[in-house]
Amino acid sequence: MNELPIIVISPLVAGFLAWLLRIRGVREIIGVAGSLIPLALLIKLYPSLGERLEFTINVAGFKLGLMLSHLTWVFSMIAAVVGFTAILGMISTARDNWEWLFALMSLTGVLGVFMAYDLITFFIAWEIMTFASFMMVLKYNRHASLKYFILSIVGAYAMLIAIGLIYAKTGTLTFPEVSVAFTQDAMRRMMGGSGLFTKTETMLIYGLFLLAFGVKAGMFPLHVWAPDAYSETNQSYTAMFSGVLSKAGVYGFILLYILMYGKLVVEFGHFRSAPTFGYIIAFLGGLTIIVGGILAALQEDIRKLFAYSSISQIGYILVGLGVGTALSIEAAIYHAISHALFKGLFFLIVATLIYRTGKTEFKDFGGLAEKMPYTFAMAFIAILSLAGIPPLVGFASKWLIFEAVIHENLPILGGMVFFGSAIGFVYLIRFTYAVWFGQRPSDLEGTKDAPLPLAIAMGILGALNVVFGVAPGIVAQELNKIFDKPVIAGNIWELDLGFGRYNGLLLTIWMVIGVLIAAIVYFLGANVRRVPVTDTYQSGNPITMEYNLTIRRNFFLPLREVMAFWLKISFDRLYHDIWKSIEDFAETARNYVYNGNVQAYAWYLAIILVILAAMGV
Amino acid sequence: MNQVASLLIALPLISAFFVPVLKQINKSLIKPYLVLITLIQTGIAGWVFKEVYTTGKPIIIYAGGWRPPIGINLYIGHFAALFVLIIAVVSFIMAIFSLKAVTTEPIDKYAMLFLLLMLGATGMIATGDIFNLFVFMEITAITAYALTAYNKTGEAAEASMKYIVLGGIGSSFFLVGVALLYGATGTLNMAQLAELANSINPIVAQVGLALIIFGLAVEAELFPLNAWAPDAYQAAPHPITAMFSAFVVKAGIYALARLLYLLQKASGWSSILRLLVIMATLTVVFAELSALRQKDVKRMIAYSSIGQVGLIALAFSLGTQAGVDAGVFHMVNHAIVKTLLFLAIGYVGIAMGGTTMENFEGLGKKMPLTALAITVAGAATVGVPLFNVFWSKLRIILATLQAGFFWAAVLVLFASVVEAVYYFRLIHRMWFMGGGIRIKEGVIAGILVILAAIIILIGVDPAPVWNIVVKAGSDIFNVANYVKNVPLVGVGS
Amino acid sequence: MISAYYFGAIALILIGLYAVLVKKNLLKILVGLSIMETGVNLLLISIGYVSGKSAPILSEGITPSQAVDPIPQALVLTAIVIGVATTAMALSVAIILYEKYGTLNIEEIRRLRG
Repeated sequence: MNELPIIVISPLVAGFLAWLLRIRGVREIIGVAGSLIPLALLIKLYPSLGERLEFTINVAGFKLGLMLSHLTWVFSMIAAVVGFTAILGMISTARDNWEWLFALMSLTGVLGVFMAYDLITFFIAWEIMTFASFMMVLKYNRHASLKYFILSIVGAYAMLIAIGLIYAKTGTLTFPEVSVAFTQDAMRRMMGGSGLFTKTETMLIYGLFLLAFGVKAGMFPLHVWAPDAYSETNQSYTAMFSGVLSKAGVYGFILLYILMYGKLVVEFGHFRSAPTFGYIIAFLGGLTIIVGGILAALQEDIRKLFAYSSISQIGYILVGLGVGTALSIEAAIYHAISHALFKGLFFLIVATLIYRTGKTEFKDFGGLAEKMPYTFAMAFIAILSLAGIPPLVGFASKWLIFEAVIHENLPILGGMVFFGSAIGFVYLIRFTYAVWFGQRPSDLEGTKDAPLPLAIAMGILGALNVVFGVAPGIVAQELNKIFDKPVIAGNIWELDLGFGRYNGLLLTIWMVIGVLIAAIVYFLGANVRRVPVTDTYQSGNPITMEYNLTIRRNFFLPLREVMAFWLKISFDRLYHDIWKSIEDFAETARNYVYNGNVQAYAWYLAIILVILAAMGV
Repeated sequence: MNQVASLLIALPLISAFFVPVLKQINKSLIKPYLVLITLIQTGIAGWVFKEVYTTGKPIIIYAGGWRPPIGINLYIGHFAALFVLIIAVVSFIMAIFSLKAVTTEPIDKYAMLFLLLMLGATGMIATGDIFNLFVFMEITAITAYALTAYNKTGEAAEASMKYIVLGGIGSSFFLVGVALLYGATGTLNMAQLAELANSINPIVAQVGLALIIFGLAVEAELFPLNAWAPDAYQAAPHPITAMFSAFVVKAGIYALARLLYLLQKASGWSSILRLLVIMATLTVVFAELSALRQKDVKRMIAYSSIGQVGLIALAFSLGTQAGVDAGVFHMVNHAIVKTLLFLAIGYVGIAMGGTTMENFEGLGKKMPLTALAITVAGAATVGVPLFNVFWSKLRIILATLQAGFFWAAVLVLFASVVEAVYYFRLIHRMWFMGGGIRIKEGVIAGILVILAAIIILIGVDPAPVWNIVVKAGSDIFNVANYVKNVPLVGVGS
Repeated sequence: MISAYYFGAIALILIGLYAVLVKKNLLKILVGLSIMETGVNLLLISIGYVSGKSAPILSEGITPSQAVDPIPQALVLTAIVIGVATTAMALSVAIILYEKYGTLNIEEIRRLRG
């Protein structure tokens, strides 16, 4: 199918053209066209998904390929849709030509990752994606971008070593053949023989892949790059960065299942009702939920709050993936979709806020619901979705994950997931009140509503949030096709798991009825009383400037004080210290070895001669 | 018609000694003369390249008409043809660059030494006789010593002295190795040495091979014998540094690889290989680590060049066909990238008056084309896909893992991470720190953009270059073919 | 087969190497380098030596089978010339060094480092 390479390459070509032609109007049109083509082609190819859609090319001795199956189609659609809306948003917020080039390059990379047919294409697309997103961050903050790049590169090279080991042992690189090789290996081990890969090698490959995909997905403890990288870049781009690129890590974990499931289960067995290797992923995912959520609550900067929230939500997906049943994996992919949708929407809203007001911290915001009603409506949808309130898509996916985890009898994971939901509500309340309600600072009196491109982009994502929430079956039926059996039964309005049911349409109807009743009551006679605005949060403490806690400033300072001990453990500082010591070691070694004295150099030669002599004799 | 290939050696030699005559006629003609000669050399090399690759047979030239092993023969196979072309093209670009970059007197000596350097490297690659290799190696080395000291500053003299001492020791031991091999086999012809390799007394073979490899390793900048290299690269004139990095060290690596594979039947071969793997890996690690906190950009890129050369040496010391192919590919890519980098840095050096970090701040605004070229080359060296080095690095890592050297692969990738850090710090400094007004960039910027375009072109479509490289790789690895191609006359010993 | 000549040659090489490694004065180091190259030349000639035979110069009464191996002699001639060139180059660089640094002590000629 010749459309596959066009889907992958067109954003890059468009970005390159947009960068070359620096004319203001033309580059936007080219850029948007570049992100629209993949979307259009993917939609066009949907009916023919039953047949295998493949494209292979021989490049310099490697057989590179692209493939479109149900699974890859779902992920590619996430990339295409959210990518398209992010590029639309960039029309308003992008300032330099190269931002178009790199944003579109990362879209190419991520589409390539999803549609890869063999390990080399996967790796190439992964690196393109990392490099492009790194360049987007480089201008704003060198430290954050280097941290991101180094961690990502360490992960990517870990993956390269794993790929090299697989290639050395099995001699093949395409996904079907590698999968077959591993399954055969698992069979051999089950029969008592020794396979191609020993237990240590399997553990090594698993660990390397875990490192690679964990860094990209933002899994604890490899998440340290995400808050800085997500906040220190063009916020419309972060919609794609956080919404789509992190899903590449998620897709990587699913790939781990596809390629190595049998082998890993045979080598490492089960833990409770989940495979051991999956339980590790799920447990780390649970830790991610907790760490991300608590840190999100403690932030004063909107961008950082949503960055940590992103990390926390990916934790949900990882828990779902780790549990390992068909239902939980479907729930995880469902949450990936809904996270992309509501997180993308959130970052576009943040981009609008920053674009219109220029402020980024909670203490500078307030009362914007009046001035930016459209944006507020979108924010309201996004907030409900993330909090998991029906009838929005966030509820459907969260509910599925809860059901899947409980069904498998995993109390610890279940506890972590519930905790995550609660803490999500905690930081969302902050965002809801501090930005949209309450007193408005005087310099925000003139803020206008969202510019048109951002408004369209937000509208698309908002509409999808609502549609998939009211009719969750649409997504569920697509996901069922991946597994080829009705894991989630029911029609398009209803999700039926056998032990639980959620009917979107019914709930919506009831909610609308309820809102109508409340509206009638309000208009008929509810009394409104104006109250002066006072500080509400003191609980008996004397009011001092440092301890003047309002929802806009230091709201969760008590929480920070309670968690002070745990907050001292910082993986960020650990990685920073490791790197610092490597640099210091490098400098000492260099000054010692290349010390400028010719005689020392001559002694090196003499030492090598002695070694050669010792070897010969 | 094949005899035209002997012009590759004769032309630079004759033209070098014609320079003093030219000086008497008109001093300002010397630099354009240099450009002309390198252009002609490029033409001949291109013709030779086309000949060898379309007919698939190597060009063999008998010096003086004597058949080998009585006489000395030149063997221009696939690998030699490819590299002679690269040498000629790089020399041509550097000759153009010298028009502006080299102003220290005496310029006529510079032109002579330049041509002799080119000659020496070409000879090292094209020869088929081991003592001839020694002679050309010494020509290259002595002209390199002189060119390093050309600027006549204290630092240049110091760098040159280090090079002389270490190079002198290296070549002396190389000669000892040659002596031992000659004593054991009675021949100096490479093809005949390959044939007789397994009949040599094992100890003599091992010691001889080890000493030869030792001598070449000094020229090829392997750890810890490369300590002269950062200083020499830093102190030499800018075009000369580019030539060092692009082909002088490559000629050394080529000779190392050629002799290593020719003598593979000698005993103790695998332990030499293992030692080379260790040395090469250490070269990469120490060079990349040393580049981290450099204050002078030229020295930083010099360390980067040494690191990449270590990578090439690693690929050659694996002992497999895949490794050799990957190594040759990396040689080609590295030559292009480092030519670009040193050309750009030299250009910044003469435009901004120095090559320290401060001179590079705000380069994106002052000299955007140059900064763009440096960005492309930097991203390429790190190994980002869509650039050429990605393919060769990928192949080297895969070949290393296939050969079973797990820790070498891990260390090399670690060095790659370190490389990313300092290149991206430089890129950040160029584009996002400081500012300035736009300076007019001339022909050099045009060359830089063309080289950058080639880098991206090979990165996106490596297939044509890869096909050439595979043929060149089998030229080195497939020794039986080499021996078959050389018509040895049977001689009584 | 290990004759005295080999020992002598190797001894010269080691003496030269010792001088390079230990002596502090730059000129002594260069002399050591030169001694080392002399030792290598001696080694080369010794390899071609066959006891009882004469110099490989075609003249009355000397046939090829009565001469020592001529090839090492040719190699050594070349090597001597190369050695001369290297030594000349090294000495001229040493002159510049003395001019710029004021000293020939190898430990003080260390501006390029790190």
